[in-house]
Amino acid sequence: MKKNDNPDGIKTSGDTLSVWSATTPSIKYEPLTKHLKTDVVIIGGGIAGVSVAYNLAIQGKKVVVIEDGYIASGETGRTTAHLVNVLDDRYYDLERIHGDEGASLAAESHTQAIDFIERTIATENIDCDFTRLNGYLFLHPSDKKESLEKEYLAARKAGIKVENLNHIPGITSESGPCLSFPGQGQFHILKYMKGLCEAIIKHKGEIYTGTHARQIDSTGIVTDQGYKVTADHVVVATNTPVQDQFAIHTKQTAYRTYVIGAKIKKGGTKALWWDTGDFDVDKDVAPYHYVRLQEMDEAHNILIAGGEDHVTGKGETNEEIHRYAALESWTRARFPIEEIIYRWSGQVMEPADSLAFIGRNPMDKDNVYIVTGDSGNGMTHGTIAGILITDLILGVENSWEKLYSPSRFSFKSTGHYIKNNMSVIAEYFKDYPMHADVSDFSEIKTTEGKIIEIKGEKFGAYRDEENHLHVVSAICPHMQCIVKWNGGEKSWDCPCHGSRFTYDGKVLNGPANGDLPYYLSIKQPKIIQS
Amino acid sequence: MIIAAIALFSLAAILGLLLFGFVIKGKHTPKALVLTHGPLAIAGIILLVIYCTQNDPDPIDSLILFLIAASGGLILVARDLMGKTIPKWLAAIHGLLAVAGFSLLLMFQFS
Repeated sequence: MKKNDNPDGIKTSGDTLSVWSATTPSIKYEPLTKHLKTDVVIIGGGIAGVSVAYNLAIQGKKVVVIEDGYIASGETGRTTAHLVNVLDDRYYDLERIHGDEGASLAAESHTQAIDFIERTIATENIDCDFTRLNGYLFLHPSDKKESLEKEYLAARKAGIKVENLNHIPGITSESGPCLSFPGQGQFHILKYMKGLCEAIIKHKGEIYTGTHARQIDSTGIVTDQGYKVTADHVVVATNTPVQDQFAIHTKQTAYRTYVIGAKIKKGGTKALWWDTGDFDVDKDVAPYHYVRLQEMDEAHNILIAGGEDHVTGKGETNEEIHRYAALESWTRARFPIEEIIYRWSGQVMEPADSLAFIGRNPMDKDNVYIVTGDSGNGMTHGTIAGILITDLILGVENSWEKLYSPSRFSFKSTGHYIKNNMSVIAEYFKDYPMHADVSDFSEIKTTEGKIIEIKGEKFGAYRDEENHLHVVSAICPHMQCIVKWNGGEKSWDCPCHGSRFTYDGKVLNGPANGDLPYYLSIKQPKIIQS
Repeated sequence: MIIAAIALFSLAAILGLLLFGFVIKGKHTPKALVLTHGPLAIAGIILLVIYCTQNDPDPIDSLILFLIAASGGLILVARDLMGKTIPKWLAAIHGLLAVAGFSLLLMFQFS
């Protein structure tokens, strides 16, 4: 497994590295060391933030991008970079929740997002392995043939090009049926991001990495070092908003998704594949598998397969080991892969009604915008944000505004909404006195992280490979839930709203915007083997 | 009904005392206690409201004190969940109001 050994040794939002981060130099700029005044400040250097900045910069707006890691060091760098207008939720569901017009607008916006990326690559001369190819949607064994028939009709009605096939091109171990969607795409996300950043700089935009926005409001941001960026408009594109306490976080749920990258001989079908999801696991958010290829060398490609999702912080001990094993087994049953070179996981924000939240921040001033709820389609949703938020800031009418409005509430997704929030309340009920994973540090083996209670306070303790104990507060600063250890990424993950922290407490993912207090690092004399 | 309300308030009071201990020591309040204490007290208040609307005389003074205590409790739980400091004086007043309301209720029922 590739660990944090990328060319710069810089951490991403976890301990593993994606195929992109492991093979591509980090995109870094200088940290902010002065006060600034600008038209628009954008917090977050992922695809959403950088797309917004690019669109505004080419329209002549003065933009400043602030990123606490480096460009795409968050979830953008952990994508599998599928570009699809066929979302991970079915069009028949989108039609039920958002109506015929909503489903059509969703189809139109994602189609335009792929077109925009293709156009921008040509305009800015970005070499990022962009390819148009077919997408194949096939049945998961837990699903029924009728769902593909329904999807065929709903997708056509929404304006998506689709064909019925009785076999799955590229997968011989399974018989059809299958839906074929022409005109989908894939690219190398970090090469694309580098090209966009260079274009922003060319258009007089400014990008600062290694700069954390401690305070965010309608006047701008203040960094950890006290530098202020005053702006007419503020765009928060931090995967999940870090300045909101409740508004958005009750409407979406954080999921972990797992990915493997395996060597595969060149010569097979090049396409995107995904199944309809395991309805035995979750009828509302059926976790599905998704697959693509990426160039490796003259003889091999890398087959990138993802899936086996679960709600963040809800897995059992060593959950990731089981998830990677299940993913490998699923993939080997369908593709002739050789050695597995990469394993990584990422975070998906799943809105209760399946579409991202892009627009003005609810219960905030009109000049504050958010982008969140990527829903497993972060590349296109992030690109849509670039187009839509630019229009909102420039005062240009955009027919997608209502569909993606963060203020929307769909009564047809009320059941899902209630279920998600009941699950959060259930987490709170696990926080009672004298309840912890272990009662003594000695019970924690090397590479394990456990919750321990000391004098009525809960702590997260991780024992590293060299037998150092690292102890942090176990209380998530966002909404006070108890965090849970994620052994795969060596992080403390919050099961309530998906905040994540390094083993030594540094915040990796919102909605928390601050660290877990770090109490101590103890070198234990006795080595305890796991 | 009033006996049921007294029982609910008694349970809420026990949890409230435990929570007050955490607040006074400036420690994280276990959320299972917080989210059990509040609903128990609210259930007691609902029963008391029903009793007051159906009976005369009624323990309205007790109900008023419980309602004021409950509004303080809402502020406390909101601050707690948002990770803000819980003012000890507010927690104390919240508890004292509830104790006063509970005492009046006991006097109403048993004297």
